Amino acid sequence: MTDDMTLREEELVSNPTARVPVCLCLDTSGSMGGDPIDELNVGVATFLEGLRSDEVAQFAAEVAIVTFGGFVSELLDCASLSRVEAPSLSAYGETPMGQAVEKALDLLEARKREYSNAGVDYFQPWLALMTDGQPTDAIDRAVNRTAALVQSRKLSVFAVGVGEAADMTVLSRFSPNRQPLRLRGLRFRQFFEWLSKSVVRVSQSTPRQDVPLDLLGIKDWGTV
Amino acid sequence: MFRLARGFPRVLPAPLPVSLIPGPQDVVLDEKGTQHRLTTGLGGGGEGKVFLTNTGMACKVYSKARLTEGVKTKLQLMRTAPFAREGLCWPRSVAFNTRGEFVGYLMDRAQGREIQKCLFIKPLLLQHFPHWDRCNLVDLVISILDIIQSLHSENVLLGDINPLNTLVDDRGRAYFVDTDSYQIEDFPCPVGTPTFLAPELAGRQLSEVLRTPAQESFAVSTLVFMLLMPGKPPYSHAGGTDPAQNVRKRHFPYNLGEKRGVDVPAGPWRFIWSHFPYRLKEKFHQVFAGQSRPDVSDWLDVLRQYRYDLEAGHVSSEIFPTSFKQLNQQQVEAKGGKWLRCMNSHCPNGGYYGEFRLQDAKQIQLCPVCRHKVWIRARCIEPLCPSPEFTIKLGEKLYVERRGLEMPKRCERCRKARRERPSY
Repeated sequence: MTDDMTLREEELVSNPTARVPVCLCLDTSGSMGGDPIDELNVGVATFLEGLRSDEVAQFAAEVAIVTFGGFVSELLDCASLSRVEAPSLSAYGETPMGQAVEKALDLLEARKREYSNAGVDYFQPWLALMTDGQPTDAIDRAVNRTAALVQSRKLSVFAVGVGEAADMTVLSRFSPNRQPLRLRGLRFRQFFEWLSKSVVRVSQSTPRQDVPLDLLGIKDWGTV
Repeated sequence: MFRLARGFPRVLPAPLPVSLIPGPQDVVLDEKGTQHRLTTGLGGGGEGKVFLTNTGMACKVYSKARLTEGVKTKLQLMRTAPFAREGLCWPRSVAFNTRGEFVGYLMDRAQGREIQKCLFIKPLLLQHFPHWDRCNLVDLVISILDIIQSLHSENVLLGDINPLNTLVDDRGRAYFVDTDSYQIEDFPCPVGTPTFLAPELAGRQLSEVLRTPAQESFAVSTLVFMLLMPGKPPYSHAGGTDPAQNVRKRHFPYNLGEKRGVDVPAGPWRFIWSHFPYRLKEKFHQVFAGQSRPDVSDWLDVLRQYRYDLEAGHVSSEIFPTSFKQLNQQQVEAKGGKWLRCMNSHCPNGGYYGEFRLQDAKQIQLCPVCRHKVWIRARCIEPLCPSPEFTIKLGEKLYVERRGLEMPKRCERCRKARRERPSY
């Protein structure tokens, strides 16, 4: 057992705040190279900073990051924000979206079990899925798993297409309850600012049943 | 004094016309026509924004959707009973914009920080109140209850009690903000926070409900629990989910006397609980495991006794004790237990402990801390196990060795499932 493990567990059990687990599932395939990947990096850093700067959210939000570019990699595993650094993403390879989404769901499920075993309250997790293209692997199983969770209100999905080549039909299969949106230009930073504010709202939740999303704010970064 | 709520909730949703919502540096007028300039913003949400004023007060400016006949009439009614007590940010005047349109209200300004942001998370508690012990904590609970009691005596129910509208300053004094949401006569409290909502209110549209003193008592009891167990909700338990669901399930995990704890959350909470005086534990049980809804004076009695016990050194005054309550040999034997030596030669408790479950004691002599210490982490061998990581505790290890059994290969859930599976 490493010290890191002990620290992680200590944080898990001694922080009584209800958690909001968020997984960013990000396309880092070759076509994201150049400006898009740079802007994405800025966006992810903005997201983490936005959560960290809120006095409630920094103890409530936990962030996992899964990228898919050539292969699927798990960059953060629902860690508490105090120990997280913004990763540096680079663009490479194909778009194994199906496998990546399954990985993301696995991470979120595993973390939920950890919360439950330890007696830590939590809100149902969020999945932000971003892509600029089409999946290069089979996505049916990932779609079915995601849709089932969304239908049973155990997952909120935010699907965002980047650029004209993003396959919005695929994204809408992953997000049956909420229409996927297309990013305006390369406004990654604006999207992630909006996303962190939305997480803050949930964590601050004096939630009145469902926390309303800041729909007006969406105009800043997305279109239908 | 207000009259008690009766009949139906009064909402009066008709919107009031407004052509200008004041912002920073704008002027608002009070009922006497005095000008107050808005200065620093103190934050806000969907309801509106709160500003400091150049006159040393605070002003809540509602967002357009909240500017209704009902909100204004309720504030005017609240103004008829001006509370002059420190710590309660009661409306002092309805506020108008320079065109004479209703935009919000002026109130005394609060000091300090929301208890969510300075008490309910251990690192923040240690940062803001490094010298505090349990005496300070209990004093704060008592002063919070005093304010609540003064409201109740005027027939006001707070409704949405929560850790973001209760503040505490550096000197441990409490402040209540968002008083405009209180239930006054038939004007309902339209908002709520799941952890503090009585189970019977779950899922209800709160603007359509007049709350009862019993529902208020549930919220007050929850606040008392979460102040004494800094930040931990009473229904947090192993196997739980989100706050609202946990309240609906009403599973209170902590032990009382002979009744053992079930699904007690991991971490410091069981230690804190073990140090509470019996009367306090019993009161929590009556509320969260039973149906009791004590009034504020009942809570004050229990807490003043707790305060006395702390002062007299009868119970630990540490906010976060790191082990179970230690009884001495005499106390253990007086309660019918046995004074035993812990088998773990590295026992952090100094080697001796009181044992009351004598059946267990025959098997393994470990103090409760050593018994629950993780010996190794293992993986469940059931291929379909949904949660294969499990731990073997030192107590289990010694038990298994004593009885010449095999070490468990499956997690507790799979073991239970196997035991319950019918054999053919």
